[in-house]
Amino acid sequence: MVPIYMTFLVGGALCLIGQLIMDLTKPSITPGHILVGYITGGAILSGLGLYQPLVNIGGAGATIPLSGFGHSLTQGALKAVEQKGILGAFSGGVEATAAGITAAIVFGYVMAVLFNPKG
Amino acid sequence: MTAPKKRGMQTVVLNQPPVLTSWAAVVGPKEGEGPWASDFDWVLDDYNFGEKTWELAESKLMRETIKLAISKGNYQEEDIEVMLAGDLLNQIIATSFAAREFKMPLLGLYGACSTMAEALAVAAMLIDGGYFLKAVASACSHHHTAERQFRFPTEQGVQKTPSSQWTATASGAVVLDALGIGPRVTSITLGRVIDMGQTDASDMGSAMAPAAVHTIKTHFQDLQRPNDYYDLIVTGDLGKVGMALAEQLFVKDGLVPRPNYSDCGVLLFDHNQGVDSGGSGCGCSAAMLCGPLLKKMHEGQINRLLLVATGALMSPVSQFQGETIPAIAHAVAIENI
Repeated sequence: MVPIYMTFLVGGALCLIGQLIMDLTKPSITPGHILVGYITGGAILSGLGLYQPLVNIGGAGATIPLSGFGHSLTQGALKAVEQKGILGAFSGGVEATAAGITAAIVFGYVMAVLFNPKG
Repeated sequence: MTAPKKRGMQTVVLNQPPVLTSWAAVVGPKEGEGPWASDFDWVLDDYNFGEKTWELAESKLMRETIKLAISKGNYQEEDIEVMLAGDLLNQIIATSFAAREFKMPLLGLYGACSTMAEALAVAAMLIDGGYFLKAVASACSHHHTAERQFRFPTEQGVQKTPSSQWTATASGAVVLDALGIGPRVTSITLGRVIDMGQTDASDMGSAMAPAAVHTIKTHFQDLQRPNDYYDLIVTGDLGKVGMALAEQLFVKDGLVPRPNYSDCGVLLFDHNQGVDSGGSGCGCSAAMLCGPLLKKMHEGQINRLLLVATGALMSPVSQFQGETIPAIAHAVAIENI
């Protein structure tokens, strides 16, 4: 069990970096770039074995941010390659993150049915 | 050979200056919390204005403002011979949808946030040219429709930069008459498109400031007027960032002593209203003109006003393609004579 303050520190640091990237660079860096960049960055770091240590010290502070999603994608793909061979590289990532993806679709759908967006 | 009413490069003078006989300004709730609430004719309670969508609300905003300007001048709708108006939405739908309930012909205009000055300029020239006796000029903008079109969905809650501006929910309309009592449009300087290579749509003030200064300088040169001729020169919506740049450019371009200068985007809101650099949108200069500024002219506190409405002429597509922002500024001289 990771102490809660470590979770806070690691998660907070990841968010701080994202905020600083937006504040200190040209406005052409949009939240969309941060989103895609964090997922890709997390996936690459995970593949290099550099993200797991962050999860070990930060727990949910490292897995909940977008980079944690990238980490899950990579780990799922690596595991599936061991079991199924090269095809696993294509299926494993989505299998490992299926709960998150399905939750996003289901809740997104429910919200779209319940509320009427204006903007 | 020069046209008889043209002066210099970009300026025209009106031989029989049309009269601004009646005007009206309607603004949204946030603008109503600003410093000029009592100078506007109507402050809306909410952004929907009783309509289903913000786009329809914006259209109604223009329609009601025009109706109000017509009735305030004791005119009937049938008296007005032509409507010149525009807004920020694609294909200027707020204007076209507003005009479908009027019987007068429409000349739809797009000058981004410079539209009010463009409408006034064209209306004044049509009247002085003898083509019409009475025209209405109008422009409007709505905060949420502009956010949706030019920026991000409001529900996404994207953070704004300090140089960004708050699109005003506001509308202004003026009735111009060949005869009557009131301030008159005496001269017009049409603006050139100036593009200094700025690409940042969240800092339109800086993109537009060079266009504004160019038009002001050309106006003084064309008419050979001293810098202190006007009681007030107001630019459209440069905001704090653009206004600071414009003041530097005045010095650089030799417009010293500095003319008595301000900006509608800076004036429209109080600094504590969370609008970053200031107000923007067609409605910003339209409502400032048709609210506080013309009221001050009517009361004689201002006798010579130069309205220099500024527009950033980019589109969402051009922004995605990384194009720079062309900017324009039209100047309309309004005087009590």
